Amino acid sequence: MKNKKIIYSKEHEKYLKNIKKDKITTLLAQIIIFVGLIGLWELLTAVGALDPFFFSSPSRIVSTLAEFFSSGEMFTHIGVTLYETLIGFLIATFLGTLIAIILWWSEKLRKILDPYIVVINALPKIALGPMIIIWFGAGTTAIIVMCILICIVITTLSMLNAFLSCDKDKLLLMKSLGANKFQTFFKLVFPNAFGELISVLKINVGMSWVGTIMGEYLTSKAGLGYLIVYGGQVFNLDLVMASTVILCILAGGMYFIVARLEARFKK
Amino acid sequence: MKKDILKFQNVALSYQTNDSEITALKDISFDVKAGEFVAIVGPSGCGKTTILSLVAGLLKASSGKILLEGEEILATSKKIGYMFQHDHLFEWRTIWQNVMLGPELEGKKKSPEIIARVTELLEKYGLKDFIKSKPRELSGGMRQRVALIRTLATNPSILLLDEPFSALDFQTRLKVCDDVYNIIKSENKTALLVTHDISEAISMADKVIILSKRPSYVKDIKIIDLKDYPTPLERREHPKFRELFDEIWKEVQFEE
Ligand SMILES: Nc1ncnc2c1ncn2[C@@H]1O[C@H](COP(=O)(O)OP(=O)(O)OP(=O)(O)O)[C@@H](O)[C@H]1O
Ligand SMILES: [Mg+2]
Repeated sequence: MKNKKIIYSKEHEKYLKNIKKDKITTLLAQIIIFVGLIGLWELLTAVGALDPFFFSSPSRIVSTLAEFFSSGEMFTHIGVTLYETLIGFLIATFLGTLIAIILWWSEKLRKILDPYIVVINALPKIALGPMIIIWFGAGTTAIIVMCILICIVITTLSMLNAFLSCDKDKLLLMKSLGANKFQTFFKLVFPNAFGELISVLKINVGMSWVGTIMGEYLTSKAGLGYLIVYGGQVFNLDLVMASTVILCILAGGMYFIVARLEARFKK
Repeated sequence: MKKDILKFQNVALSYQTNDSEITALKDISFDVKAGEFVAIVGPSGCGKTTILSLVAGLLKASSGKILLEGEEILATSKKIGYMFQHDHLFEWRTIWQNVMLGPELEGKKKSPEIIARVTELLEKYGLKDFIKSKPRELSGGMRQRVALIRTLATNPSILLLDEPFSALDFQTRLKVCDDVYNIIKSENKTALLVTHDISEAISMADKVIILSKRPSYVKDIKIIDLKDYPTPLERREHPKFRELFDEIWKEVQFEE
């Protein structure tokens, strides 16, 4: 490893200092906005400008959360939703990439399936909800299928696009070196599309949450989506808001993990 | 008299597209002897790259014959090493993995002979310290040398070079031109170089083939004898250089 003790010039030190200052002011602004909005919300509900029955309030959200967590009920709901999302995310990413590989392999198949893919892509997947429930039964499986449906088309299309955008001369180079199709794919096309795979993962993190929550809206007995729908039906806005907060934290966390993965592979 | 390694006999080629047929090559005949350095010049779009694709077995001629070591070219072959305009190094591979791409595809990644030869090449051309580096850590000139060694790793008998220096700035270009020339000569390879740059062609080649506009035929073949000056860079100062340049330039420029 290289020696990290490099002595910087005055100018460079100043430059680094400025960057650091910039970072601190940005972070500070972010915190101020967050605290300010929460404070304003709390204040407006406390003085009665906003009705907490319709708008909940930060303190009511916190007490709802405390109650749900202490009874252990929240963990069950988080577990259910997290399970559905992760399974959906993994299967969709894997299957979508696999389909993209097959479509890359066979130009003929790609041409034949093109109109179908266009239609499936344009179709609002939620419209398939009733069918999914009938075919897979009301429950976890149906929710996971919903999640997969939402993610898989975009995965397939993005990966296929990345595979097809491989430089023509690089393909010729492989050919001139006598590579077969299998070698061309695994030694050139796939590693070349690796950056795209990471951004697909990032998109899928968001999409898989959309899919799962949508699925839970349609049919569920537990999960964060269930809590939100249930809270809405009984006009318990505290519960709706509290579940949304948890959802934000989980989705953010999952995105963060993928972003870390990306940083590690970029090195 | 050295034997012919490559022979074009009245080769023609047309590209088929949806709305037309483009005749790129009308009638091309020339030959390349073993160890010879041959340059092809001609106006843009006249079919220079097409000729190299034919030799590489990536395209099939519409008519005529192309013989490589006496045999007709039917598919890609290990006897051919193709070097492109850009180095096309794979950014996710180290320099070593890049130069070993050819042997790896043949399943000879572990062959001690090849490892020894590639190591020697890297050492000889100043890349030994970069074996574990990624391509982005190298300068343009070094990258082009790596690309050449990758081409040499499969030990081809003829090298095809398609404007291999045109992506480089002028200074680097002259230097890399010298490097590549020396490597090719000291490895005793036959080379077919395509270029826009007449000076480059004269300074490197033993023979310059001048093509006409599309549909192209061979307008003239000029024998270059500047061997009393050893390197391409020095040859640019040769007393006969200017004269050759003017002759070729006129032929490329003026269509009757
Ligand atoms: N795949 C293709 N389909 C149709 N026409 C093509 C194809 N490849 C090349 N051509 C045409 O054939 C002609 C010769 O192309 P080629 O690439 O061999 O020229 P070139 O001399 O290498 O040109 P440049 O100097 O620009 O590199 C050009 O007019 C080009 O438009
Ligand atoms: Mg060309």
